[in-house]
Amino acid sequence: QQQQSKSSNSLKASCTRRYMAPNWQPLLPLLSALCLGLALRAAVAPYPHSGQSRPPMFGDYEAQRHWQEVTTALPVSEWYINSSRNDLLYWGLDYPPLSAYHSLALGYRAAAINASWVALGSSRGEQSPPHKLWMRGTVLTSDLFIHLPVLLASVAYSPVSPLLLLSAVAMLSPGQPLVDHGHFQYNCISLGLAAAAHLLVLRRRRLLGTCLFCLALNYKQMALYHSLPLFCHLLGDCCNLLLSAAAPWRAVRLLCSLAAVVLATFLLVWSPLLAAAPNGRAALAALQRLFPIGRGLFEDHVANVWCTINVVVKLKTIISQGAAAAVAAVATLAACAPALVRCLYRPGRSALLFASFAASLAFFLFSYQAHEKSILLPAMSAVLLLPEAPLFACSFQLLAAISMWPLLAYKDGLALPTVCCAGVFVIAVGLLFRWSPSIRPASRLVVALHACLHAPALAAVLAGAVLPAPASLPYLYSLLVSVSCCAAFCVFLLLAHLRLWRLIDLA
Amino acid sequence: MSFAAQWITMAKNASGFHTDVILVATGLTFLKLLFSQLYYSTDFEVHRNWLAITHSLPLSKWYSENTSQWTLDYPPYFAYFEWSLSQLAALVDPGMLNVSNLNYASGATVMFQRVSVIVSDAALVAACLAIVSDVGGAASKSATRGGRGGVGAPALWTALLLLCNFGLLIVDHIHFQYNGMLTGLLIGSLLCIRRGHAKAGALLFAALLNFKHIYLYCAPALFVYLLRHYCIGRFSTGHLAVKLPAIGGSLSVARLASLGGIVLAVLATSLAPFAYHIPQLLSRLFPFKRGLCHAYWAPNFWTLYNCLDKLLEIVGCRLGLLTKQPGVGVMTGGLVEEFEHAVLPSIRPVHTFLLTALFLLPILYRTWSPVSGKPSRTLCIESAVLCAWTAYNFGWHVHEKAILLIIPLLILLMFESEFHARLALLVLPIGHFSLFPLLFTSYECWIKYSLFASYTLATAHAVSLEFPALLSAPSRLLPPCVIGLAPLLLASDWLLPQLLAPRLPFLPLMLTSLYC
Repeated sequence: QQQQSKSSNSLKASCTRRYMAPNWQPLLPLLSALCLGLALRAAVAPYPHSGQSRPPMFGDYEAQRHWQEVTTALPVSEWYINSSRNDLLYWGLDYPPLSAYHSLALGYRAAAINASWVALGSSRGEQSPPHKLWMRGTVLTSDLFIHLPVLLASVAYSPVSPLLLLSAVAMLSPGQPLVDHGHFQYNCISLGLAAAAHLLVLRRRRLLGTCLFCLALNYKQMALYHSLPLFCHLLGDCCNLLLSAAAPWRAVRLLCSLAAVVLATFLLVWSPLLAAAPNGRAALAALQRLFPIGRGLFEDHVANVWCTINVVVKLKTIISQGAAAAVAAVATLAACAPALVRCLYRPGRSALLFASFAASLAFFLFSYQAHEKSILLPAMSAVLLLPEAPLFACSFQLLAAISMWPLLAYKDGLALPTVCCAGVFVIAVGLLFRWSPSIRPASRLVVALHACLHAPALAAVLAGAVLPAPASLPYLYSLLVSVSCCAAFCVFLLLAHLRLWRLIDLA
Repeated sequence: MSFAAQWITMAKNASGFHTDVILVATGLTFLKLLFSQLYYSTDFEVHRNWLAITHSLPLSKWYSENTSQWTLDYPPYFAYFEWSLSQLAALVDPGMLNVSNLNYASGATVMFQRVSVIVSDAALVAACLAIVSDVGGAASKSATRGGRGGVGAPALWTALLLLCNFGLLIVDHIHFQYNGMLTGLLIGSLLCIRRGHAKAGALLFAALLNFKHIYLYCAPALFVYLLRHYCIGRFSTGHLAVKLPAIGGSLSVARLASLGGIVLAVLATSLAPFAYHIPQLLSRLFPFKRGLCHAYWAPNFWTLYNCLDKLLEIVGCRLGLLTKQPGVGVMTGGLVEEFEHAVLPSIRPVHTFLLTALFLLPILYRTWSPVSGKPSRTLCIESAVLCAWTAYNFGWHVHEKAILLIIPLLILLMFESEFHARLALLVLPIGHFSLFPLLFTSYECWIKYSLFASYTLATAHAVSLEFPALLSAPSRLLPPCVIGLAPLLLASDWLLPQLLAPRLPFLPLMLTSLYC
């Protein structure tokens, strides 16, 4: 019994050792940083959204608007099924039901303001200034209430000071504002829920954390990137309880309650779909939309291993899509296996956070049909890692923004906001390191290493801005950026694994 | 040691915070570039017009040109500044330099003008660097808190709060003006005067007056201060001076002459090319036909006066004591014009002048003979602030942007004592709030609310770090008046327009001025 109490005490201590009790004094700098982050996002909002003035397909903005149109006009059973009223080739719904319910709520509100915004069929290409203002407002409010407070909570209890600078760096991470408030998406909801899940699980509120993570998963299926480390961490917790020998029934109870929570959450979210059509037809159709095997190994230029290999060996011509999916799955699991094993073996705070980072990065690099915007998932893990490994985390967040440069600058016209957001972030990080001697990198060599990781990508960006691409290779600079970022991401993955197994120290 | 050498040595000894100031200035530059594509006001066209006038027309026509309604109404130094900008503008987009190209706003024009404001902010950055070089300030009192060299953390906070000032940011880089550069000059001259370098201070202030004559609001205080505490004193026997037994010192003719000479020389370089057009120039610089209040009332004494007048008129009409006279009491029309008050006596420029002079007398008296007998470190700044504030309160046709004279000076004083800190925490948010009606478009509203909250909270945080005692009484840190801004914001921006539109469109603005 003494051993059991000692081990549980050490477990508790390892979770809370480095973190202070909350008091209200940090409220001023935290709120100040929150408002600064909000101001930055509001400043990106007036810039063009994806697909602005580009018929016939437009972009992600039109996709979100179209989903509001479809969900308000059609019954649940028809949302994911191709029909004359719901053309799945024109931005068919391909996110899980929670996203659809969110679009439904937004659609009702939009219809209340101006019915022509979501009129079935006739509202395609709606991008009038009042509409854009309203849509931007919806992203801002969901960011403000779901995503930003969670990020602040992750840094609020860290002993790194000054708190004002640390929370400012967390708020100013350049990738997410540009994608959510520039390109236009609602990543903030699923990222915020997933981050909250991580924090809650680490604070031993496992059931609530699991529930929130299931909600995140049901908002965007890309949250699966984070699912394996969380699963291994929870399983590891159960095993620890089992092995502690005092009350093995506690482990069984935990496992059962976690399973129950997951099942209950999924049932709750999917029940309208399951009830809508007989034989679960609607639900099956949804699953087919969520995991499109038919779309190919990758699209356009992603900082992905498959896209990089494709430069030399044309993968798409060599293997079939089914085989490619299998190869991708195996490679992904192999790439994140060490992290998962570590999480299972001795679950803890840094283990979970680094494993979450490593696994999501491995998924990004090796999975089937990864989009360049999915880099936001490892970037979110990097923000959670800010108190533990500041230089590592900040360096990754900057590189993530740079890796999206082809999308933001060449396709969306967001070159100026990207440069400005990245610049503000770099300055904030520099100030943080100046004022926190405890987290300053130990040697110049480490800083030089990180600079080398960024240099090729930055050189490609600069070259693309100054020199025109040769006519035979019009996408040269996008490719150069993707390849150099992919190489750097592989280095980050390796570093994360090494740190997980305590072979190196990143602080 | 010469003036420049002294400042450079001081800077080297006090080094440590300069990098922080430069880093923050660079970060702010990125933020300002992000703002470059936002809404700009008619002031943008004003400055484009001035670029065109100074580039295309000969000097003699600058102050008589009136193709556009935005005639040149700043003193000649600003005109020379616009002229030098126009030389660069010719390389960017010659189309903006055509006087008849009214409202010309090509992408290159917008970027050029925005970048010119950002670059001109270098004057403000220089002033902030001077603040963190100023050894021996109040900052050294609390040198324990992260101080370096002889400069404590409060100096850094002062510099940063000035650099990032919300008012300057939204007025200069969104609404479009050049206040950052002018504020830098003002702070520079006050710092020089504070350290005793009166000649340099006088030179900078005289130059400032010739850039924008609104800084005349501060001039009486500085004149009195320099006269009493620089020109009059005890001098060695060889010094040419006039004995003044009543004060117990002597008036140094040499010093008075040198100061006077500097000011006159600056005026000469400014006005000499316009020697034959002085009356026209003066009529442009001091237009008294514009009415007591601007279209949006600056929150000063006359706001209260106007409101009282309106109230009395409404009450009087309801009670049948008065008949409603057309054309009287129409200052809520949102136009810039002269008008008569309905019930209370009408105000003429001479009334405002007398009232201002009346309220200035105590301030000038205190400047002349301070309470403790010797001029304190902050005396010149305090008297400048109070002088400008009085002029703001009682002046003729005051713009709400004139609050930007007062706010930077309050920031300079903020960390001198707890009283100053609490005063700043009360005035700064309200002053910034009074600038809200300048940005009324939707995206800019989001930016202004969040930036305002961020800046005010950061100010409160800085004060709580330097004066921890205030943390125990939160009502002193964020006084109820400031909290009251929140319901006012809700009411004026959201509630009232929904309830009252389209009647009484001016009511929310009036409420804002009244409260502030």
